[in-house]
Amino acid sequence: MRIKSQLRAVSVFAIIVLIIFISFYIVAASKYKTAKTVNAIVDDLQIKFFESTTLRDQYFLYREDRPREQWYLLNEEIDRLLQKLDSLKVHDEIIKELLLAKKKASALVFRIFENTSLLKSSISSKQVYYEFDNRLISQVHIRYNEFRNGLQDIHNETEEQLEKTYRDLIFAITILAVILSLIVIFISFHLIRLISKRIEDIHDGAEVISQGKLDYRIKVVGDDEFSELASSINFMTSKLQANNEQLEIEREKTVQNAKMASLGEMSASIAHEINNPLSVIQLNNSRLMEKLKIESLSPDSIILALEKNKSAVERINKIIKSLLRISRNAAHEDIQEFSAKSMMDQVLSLCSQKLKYSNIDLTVSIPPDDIYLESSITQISQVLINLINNAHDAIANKSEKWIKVEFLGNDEFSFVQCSVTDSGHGIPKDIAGKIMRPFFTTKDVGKGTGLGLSISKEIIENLGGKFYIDTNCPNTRFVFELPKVFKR
Amino acid sequence: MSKFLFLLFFSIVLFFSGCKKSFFDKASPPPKKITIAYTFQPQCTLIHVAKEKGFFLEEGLDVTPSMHQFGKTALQAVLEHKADLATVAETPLLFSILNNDKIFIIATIVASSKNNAVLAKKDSGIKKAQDLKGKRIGFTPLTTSDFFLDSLLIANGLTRKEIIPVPLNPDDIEERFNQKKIDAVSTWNYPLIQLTKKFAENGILFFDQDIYTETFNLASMQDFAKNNPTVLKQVLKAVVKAQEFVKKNPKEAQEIMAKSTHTPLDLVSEVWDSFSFDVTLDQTIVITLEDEARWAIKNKLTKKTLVPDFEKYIYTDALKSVYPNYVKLKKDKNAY
Repeated sequence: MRIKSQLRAVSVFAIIVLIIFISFYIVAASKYKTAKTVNAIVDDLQIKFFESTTLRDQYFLYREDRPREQWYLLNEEIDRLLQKLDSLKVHDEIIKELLLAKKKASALVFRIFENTSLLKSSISSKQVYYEFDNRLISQVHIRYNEFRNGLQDIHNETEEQLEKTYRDLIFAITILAVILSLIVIFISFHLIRLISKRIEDIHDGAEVISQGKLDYRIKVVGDDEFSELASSINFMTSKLQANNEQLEIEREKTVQNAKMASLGEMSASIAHEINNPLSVIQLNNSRLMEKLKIESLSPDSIILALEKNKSAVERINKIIKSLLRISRNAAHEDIQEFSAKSMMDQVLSLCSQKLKYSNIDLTVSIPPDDIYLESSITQISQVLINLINNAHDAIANKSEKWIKVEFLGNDEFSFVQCSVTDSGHGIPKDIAGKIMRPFFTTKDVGKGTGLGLSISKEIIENLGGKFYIDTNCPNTRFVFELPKVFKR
Repeated sequence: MSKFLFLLFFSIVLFFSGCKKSFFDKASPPPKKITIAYTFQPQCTLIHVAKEKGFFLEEGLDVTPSMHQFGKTALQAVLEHKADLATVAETPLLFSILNNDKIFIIATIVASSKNNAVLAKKDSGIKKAQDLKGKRIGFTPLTTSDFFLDSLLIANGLTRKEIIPVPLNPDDIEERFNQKKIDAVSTWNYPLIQLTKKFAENGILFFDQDIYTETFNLASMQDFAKNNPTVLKQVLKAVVKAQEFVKKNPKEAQEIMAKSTHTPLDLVSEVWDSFSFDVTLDQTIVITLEDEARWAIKNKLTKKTLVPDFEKYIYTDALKSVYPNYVKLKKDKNAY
């Protein structure tokens, strides 16, 4: 059952309980109010009744008109109050008896009023009327007592009603509080149990997924909101997995493209590098051919010329080998042991001519006993070429032009540090933060892919190292550090 | 937890249901035998209903009826220790008290202002109440008929000296009429209605509900009341059960009464509304007794010259212990 449905059901139950309570409260409040009204009328009746008996007794004693007239008025007031009491439709039986007692009592008093005139006028039967008067007074007392008892009975019953209503209200409030408390406790425990049980699975699953295991799926149980959430996370993970796979393919393509683009960028300098020895070969060959046409040359002279050509060919061969090594897919390259010097030779063979052509002074600083690394020479060379090319592009048009490549890795270091510093004045702070992001470039459109630094950073980090800009350096300085494997 | 509570509850229920016969249902003692002297009159309806419906047995009493023609003789049975309790109107009680009998009024069980009347024969020249003057009027001495006759005469400006009072037994009324020995009679129901019907056009009734309130009461000897408080409570509980039954089932109560007293049902029904079947102890009995005492003293029906304190003869403890709200005497702390 869905949590929303469960909560809705509990809410409906709570509302029903509240409606029952409110209905009960309204009935009880109504009874309470009626009882209060009855009591007020009964109190008033008791006062009027007391005044009435006083006037009655005063009349019986003196037979004067004033108490009789006042009794009449009071009797009418009592009748009005009784009608009011009767209209409330409570204590029907008692009120019926009360009205009867009042009617009988009034009738008796009226007879006493009548008998009084007989008493006053009669001479012969005076004693008889006097006797009758006494009998009537006795009956009046009996009826008044009945009336008074009836009033007290109503008063007692009303008090009981008030007490009962009060008890009922207290009981109802207690029951309501208990039921609502139980509902709250039940919901709390139920939700805590449900959430902790269901969230736990989702939380654990999300944690596994966040660790990169995009093929993991959370187990979907039931048909509540948590199963929906689990399904959504699973769906999102599937999409993420698909996107990630696509992204990986795209990234590999991009890296390869960037690499090719870098090679493209390097083609000019490589052309320069190859062009020189080719020119040497061409010149030697031309000279040799011209001299051979004119004169016969000694074998030494020919050998010398061929030696020069051989040297030039070797130079070309070396450049091509370096280019091949760098341009091949480094992802499949095995980790191997190499020295910083050998690596720098390779790098310089690819970019020294370009720097020379741009009149940039390149210095390489490697400790005299060299530094050995166990890593991917190709990938590190790519990084170095990228950094040197970037430095070249940055300072090519400046008056002060120099680049310094420095390797540190003696006993003071627990790692190998390599830095490429140029004569620039550092990276502006607003750019420094985003310069490593993919596709970010400050170069003119078409001159850079914006992937060089991001790829370089990734390469170094994948090799277990760190790649960063040295913001403390007054010049532009990129640094990468690699774990120091051993030193020879 | 809830299962545990359920099992506990279930076990307790099983335990108690298992113990019901052996532990809780102690062998109840045999019903206590008592004798109640009462009459076939409608005033004794509550006693008849309590007996017929088994309310006395429910309260642990085995009641032996001692049937009488009217309350005065029923009281006499108590005075002679032939019965433990009697149902009797206040007038015989008055004379018993004036005679220094050690009796107690336990409760009033009925009150009526319409049960007494004077029935006259028109062929005796009686057309109105004043015509009773000089006529022979029958009555049962020292009963309500005696007091009512006096009250009716006074209400119509007559005195007993102006009539010829003829003491008689209620059973002899019809015969006396037939023998033309009386012109009118002061009596009560059922004879009142039976004779009225019999006389048809020749009969005339004189009654006045403002002049007299008859009460019928449960009475016992003082010693019995003091020595048997539990029995009195049991009796009162049974009578109050009958009172509730009568109020809720008047038709059935009338049928019981008719069957129990061998009285035609229509006659029972006809007089039914004249009575108020309320078990109580209120000021009515005191006022009526005092009124009648003054009448008795004045007419020298007793040697006493002062009205006794009748409240001393009203035993409130029993009724108060079972139904305190029914005790409404001024002397009582619960009254007002």
